[in-house]
Amino acid sequence: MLVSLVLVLGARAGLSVEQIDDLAMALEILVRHQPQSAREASLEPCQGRLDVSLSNVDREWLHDRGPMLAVLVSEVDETASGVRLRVVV
Amino acid sequence: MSSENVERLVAGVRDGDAAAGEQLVTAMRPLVMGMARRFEGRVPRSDLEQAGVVGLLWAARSFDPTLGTPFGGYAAPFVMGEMLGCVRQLALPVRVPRSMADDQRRTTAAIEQLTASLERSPTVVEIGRHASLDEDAVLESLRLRMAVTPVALDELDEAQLGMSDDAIRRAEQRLDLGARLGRLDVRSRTVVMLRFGLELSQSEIASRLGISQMHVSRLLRAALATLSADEPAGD
Repeated sequence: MLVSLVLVLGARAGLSVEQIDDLAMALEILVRHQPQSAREASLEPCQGRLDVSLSNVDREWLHDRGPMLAVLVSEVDETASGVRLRVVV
Repeated sequence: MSSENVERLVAGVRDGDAAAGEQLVTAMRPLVMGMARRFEGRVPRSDLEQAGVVGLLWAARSFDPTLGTPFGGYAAPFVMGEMLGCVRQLALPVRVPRSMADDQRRTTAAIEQLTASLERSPTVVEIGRHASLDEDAVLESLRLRMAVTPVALDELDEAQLGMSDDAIRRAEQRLDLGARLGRLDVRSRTVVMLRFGLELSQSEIASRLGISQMHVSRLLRAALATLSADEPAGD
């Protein structure tokens, strides 16, 4: 479901299809890790940028996977409750 | 039901009003049933309709009426996305309805042509304009691209792709995969190396391998799914 949201909001933010696809892939990686965990996602689109925050992401796992996620999106930031991915046009 | 009434129900769903949700599902039933008919015979209708309702309610929670898009048009990609997920789970491989396949062909052709002419990946608006499709049709096609299974790629010779040991090491570090990378077949490993080792974009990989960006995307997605499946739980 998150992928559908990313498609719609990514398009609205003016991201390219490749940026949207890469972001969707990054989210799939995040969600596949501990798939049974309850998570909250928030998406904040604005012109030229889309931020996606995901809660309940294991810090140690994120530290290991951060460099990989950084290839797929513009910025990866650890937040108090999880991670924020930012894609900039 | 008027669009004003539909938007009132959508607002109720956003506020957590369960009764509004039930009324919205009833009001939008023709949309869900119409889309479910596209997959008739492949998956039980009840499963499709249930998936469609999930998509509908997801759309209601994120709908912004101030942007001027009718709710039905906004919700359609969500409903279709859930149905495709349902079909993918219950009836592989996905058989794409003809009208959607036609939209997908036009979308794919537009992406290829625009990527070449603009020398960058196009936006959804640019694709729609080029392919004479509305934004919803483009989004639906893109969602479909992500849902279908990967297609075969001829075996590739890594030595011919100019990959060095450094590139392999960098990819392994980024993916933190160790021996798991070796479990991928040559074609999948090649695409993963080029993306995460050399940090080439999907379009650059497509150009280098002489395949479409869509094909690269599918191979990457399938490879990452395979690698995640091998990941120890809670790792």
